[in-house]
Amino acid sequence: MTNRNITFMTAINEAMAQAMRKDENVILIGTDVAGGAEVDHLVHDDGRYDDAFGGVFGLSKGLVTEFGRERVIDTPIAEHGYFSAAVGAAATGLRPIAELMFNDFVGFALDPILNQGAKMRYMFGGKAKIPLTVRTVHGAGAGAAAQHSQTLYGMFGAIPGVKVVVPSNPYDAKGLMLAAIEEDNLVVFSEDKMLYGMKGDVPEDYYTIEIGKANVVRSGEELTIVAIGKMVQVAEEVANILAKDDISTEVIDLRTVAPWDQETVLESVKKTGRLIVIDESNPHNNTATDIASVVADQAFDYLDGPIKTVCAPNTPVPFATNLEQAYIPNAAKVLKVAEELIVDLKKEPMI
Amino acid sequence: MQGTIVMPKLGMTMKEGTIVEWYKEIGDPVAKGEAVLMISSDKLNQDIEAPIDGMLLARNGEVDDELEVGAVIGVVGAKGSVVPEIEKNASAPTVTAAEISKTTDQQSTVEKSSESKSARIFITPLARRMAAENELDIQSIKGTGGNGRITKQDVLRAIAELPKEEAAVAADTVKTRTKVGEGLTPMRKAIAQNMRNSLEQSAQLTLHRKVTADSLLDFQKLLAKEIESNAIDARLTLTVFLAKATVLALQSLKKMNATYAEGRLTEFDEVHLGIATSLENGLVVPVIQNAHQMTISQLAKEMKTVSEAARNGTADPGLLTGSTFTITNLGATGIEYFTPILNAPETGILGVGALQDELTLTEDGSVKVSKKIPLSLTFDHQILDGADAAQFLGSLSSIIESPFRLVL
Repeated sequence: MTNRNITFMTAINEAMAQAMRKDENVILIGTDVAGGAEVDHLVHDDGRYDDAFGGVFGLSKGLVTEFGRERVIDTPIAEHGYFSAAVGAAATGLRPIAELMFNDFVGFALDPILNQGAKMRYMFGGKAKIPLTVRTVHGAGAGAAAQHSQTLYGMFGAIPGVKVVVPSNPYDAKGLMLAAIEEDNLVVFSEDKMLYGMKGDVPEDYYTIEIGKANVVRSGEELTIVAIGKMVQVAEEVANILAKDDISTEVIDLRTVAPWDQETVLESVKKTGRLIVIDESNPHNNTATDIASVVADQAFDYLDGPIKTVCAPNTPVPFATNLEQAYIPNAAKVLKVAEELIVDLKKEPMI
Repeated sequence: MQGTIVMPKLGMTMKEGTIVEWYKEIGDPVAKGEAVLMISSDKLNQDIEAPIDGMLLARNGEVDDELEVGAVIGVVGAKGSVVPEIEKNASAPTVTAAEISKTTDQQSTVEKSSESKSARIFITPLARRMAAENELDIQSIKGTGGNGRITKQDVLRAIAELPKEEAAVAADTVKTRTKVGEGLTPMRKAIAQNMRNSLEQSAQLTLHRKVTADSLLDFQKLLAKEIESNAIDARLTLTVFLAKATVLALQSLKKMNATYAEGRLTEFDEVHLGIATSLENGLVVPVIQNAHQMTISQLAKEMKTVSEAARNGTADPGLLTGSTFTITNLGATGIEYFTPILNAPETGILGVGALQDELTLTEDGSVKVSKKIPLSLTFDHQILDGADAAQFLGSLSSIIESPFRLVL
């Protein structure tokens, strides 16, 4: 098994390509997922085609060339229509990957996801499977303003019948994407656009990462930080800073937002007694509040301090770069709330 | 308007009081400040006065009933006014906090709530569980977490500070302590609890030493004449001189003039001297405040005052607490040496025995009769070592043998 240092985006592309090679029922559908291949105005005088762009970020570049327009389907900007088509295709035997270009557009695609895709298996007594993967993009930091920068995985995670995965690195992105495609239920695969350029070691082979299982990326004894997606980097930064004060932090990459891994989180909190959850969602009714609620209930007698959540503020994502940066949870914000939890562990006060 | 009569807290350690006598019947008119009943705490009897003018509307207990501190004993109000709640429970021996707040006027309700607010202890769920498992009193644990919260760290620290034996037997003693003195009179019960607490919470060791008192006795006679001629109303007993000598010795060894409780050692500059005083039915320790500032005649007067007050049961509650060292004198009973029990949380107590005649060899080789005082010093071996205690007895002896130092 060969490891290559490749980007997050390439890892997802590779996963889709390997799945499509392995199973001819896997198809790609979405606005601009092919991106112009074999379109007349792209034909050069010598008869050669320019490679298709492959989606708004170029993530699916090359797939249409390999698998053709039968399996890589460009649609009009009509999410309700093509998501309904994707749910129907999933119910009748294909394993579609449908792309919602930005999760902010969910309103147009919601009925097929909320009322059809998430309900059919249940309402048809288990006779219909919906092996649909919804690829979408979340996250602030790109200067894309309030309608293209939201973090909405928690919204999908609130729907029974929907699984939601949020990868934090290239390795996880490939493994979780392949697991999502293999899954017989609707999976929302939510990618943080700020991670697209992140590089990491990724095996060339086909592999999956179990959905519903969190990853303890750093083990520690005194504080648990649960983080989602790119917030895992913030958690690790905080853990490094606290280590200078001899405070031992356990960092858990949640990987799956729904159903999140209660066993791993509870086990960790029972060990450390202290919990901070970092979630870039707006602060109410999100994954962090859900984790806080379950831990307060299930691990009450093990808590040695209040459960803290570090989230975005209760506002739209600002467009101005300085305000946008102030909006996103960072290490300074986490250290500020950590102070109350660890003050009794430290010899010197934190600056 | 109604006013409630509440069981007062007459000393740091008082938890409940007993009704000794009702002076007023329900329906009797009472004036503000007039005594309505007498209660007894573990140490003394006290009259309880009416808070306002009016009529005694309710009595919430009969003679010999024990009520918790803060419990409502009675209600005074305008003739014919209705007593809420309490009337139904007039004969109940205790009243709940909720009932108190219903019957007290607005001002005291405000006091109650602010009191309970300041008493609120912040503690994490984990720390609370650990404290419960180890039978630790969370009131005695200092919180160092956020918002002053008691955390796991604080409980671990408290466990580490427990004496090993105590940690091991904590479960038993906590359960039995509440029953110590059950069925006894309030004073006997207090004595029982104090003695048990003292032996449970300290490592007591007693050293004995004899000291030649010839010079002191001569000095006493000399001073007695002076005092008589100056007509000071106090007897210069040997105890007064020993008290003065003890104060001087304590000032040279602060560790002996100290308290040790809940893991905290407090050494004092001031000497508040407890004088164990036996009563017909028990024992109290009236305290001579700031004994270090007193001359011998001042000490003599103060000792007379406090011991009379203690014997008559009229001692102010403040007079019976706050000592930093205690003297107990069994000389009058003929006892020589004994092993006094520490007046917890103090770290030392001096026992004085009866004067002894002894034959001693003088420097020129002849034999003479000499007076000796047997001293028994009990100290807390957790805080002091045998050498410290011996040093204290040594310095006390040298003062007694050179009594002019008492007036330097």
